[in-house]
Amino acid sequence: MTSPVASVPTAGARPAAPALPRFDWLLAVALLACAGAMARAVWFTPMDAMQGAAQKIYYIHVPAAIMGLYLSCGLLAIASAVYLWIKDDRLDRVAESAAEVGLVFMSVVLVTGPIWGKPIWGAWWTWDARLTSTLFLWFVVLGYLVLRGAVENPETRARLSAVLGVLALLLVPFIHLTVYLFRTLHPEPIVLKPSRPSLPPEMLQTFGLSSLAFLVLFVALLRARYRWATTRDARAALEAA
Amino acid sequence: MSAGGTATAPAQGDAAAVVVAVRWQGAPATAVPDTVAGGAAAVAATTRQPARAPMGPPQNAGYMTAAYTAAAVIYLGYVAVLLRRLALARRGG
Repeated sequence: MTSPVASVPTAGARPAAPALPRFDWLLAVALLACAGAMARAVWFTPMDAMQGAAQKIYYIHVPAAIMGLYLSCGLLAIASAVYLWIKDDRLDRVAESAAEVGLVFMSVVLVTGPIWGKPIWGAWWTWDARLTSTLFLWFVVLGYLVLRGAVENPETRARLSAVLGVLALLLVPFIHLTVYLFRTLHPEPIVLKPSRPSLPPEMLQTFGLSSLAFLVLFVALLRARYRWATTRDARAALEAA
Repeated sequence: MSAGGTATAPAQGDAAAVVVAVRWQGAPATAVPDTVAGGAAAVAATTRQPARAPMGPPQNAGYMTAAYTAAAVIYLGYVAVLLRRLALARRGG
């Protein structure tokens, strides 16, 4: 493993861990933006004529899926793959942070999906391809975090988890294509597709704002989690020194 | 005439049978007089107030509220965990 934290001094007085800010302004802005996006979705966006108010779950379910599956798993796999190549600890921390934050977003997907499905499909859950593969990815990412906690040697932990992080990404395109490849209750994408989004302008604007707000939340959580991991590793290096 | 009626279709011009049909379609028994003479008025009143609810989106706002609440709990819960970790790290814990 290379040096745990680049900012750790190597000589002289007792080195200090990187300072953590007392107030995370980005996280505060992200939470406010998400609250605003949810308020707009609930009170200032037209109701779907066929699904009623339950359709508004779309504005939290789909952004969570985009951040949790596509963005976090993409970041996890890229950081893991590059770590296996250049062995930079910062990439291992990025991958670890992306996995944990992504698991939170995927949990939102797996909780809000059944709540939406019950009034529309008449069932909380069905073992069809889309739902089952998403649940499987959730367990893979959970397994990634459990693996990290189970291996004590930092270098071995980073290498093994990087391999699992790369493998997790393989599920994402499969999950995206399940609605085309299999008969499933889950609808096909209405925004993330080659043709134009199948949403009226008011709903599309709300969806865009909601996606932007949850993107900021994802970045804020990732940054905070990365900072914590940096401090943790720096302290571990200091204690080992 | 008892409330509830039967499933038989009313004969043309038979006011009593019309009353039965009106009750069968769901009109409350107290709103329909038990006289043949009152049958026409009952039919007119029932025509003005349709028995079925007006069409519109399904009333399922409870599911939306539940989903938004669950999402907020998950996100805010993780934010709280993260802030606690950072606070402990800041204090050197």
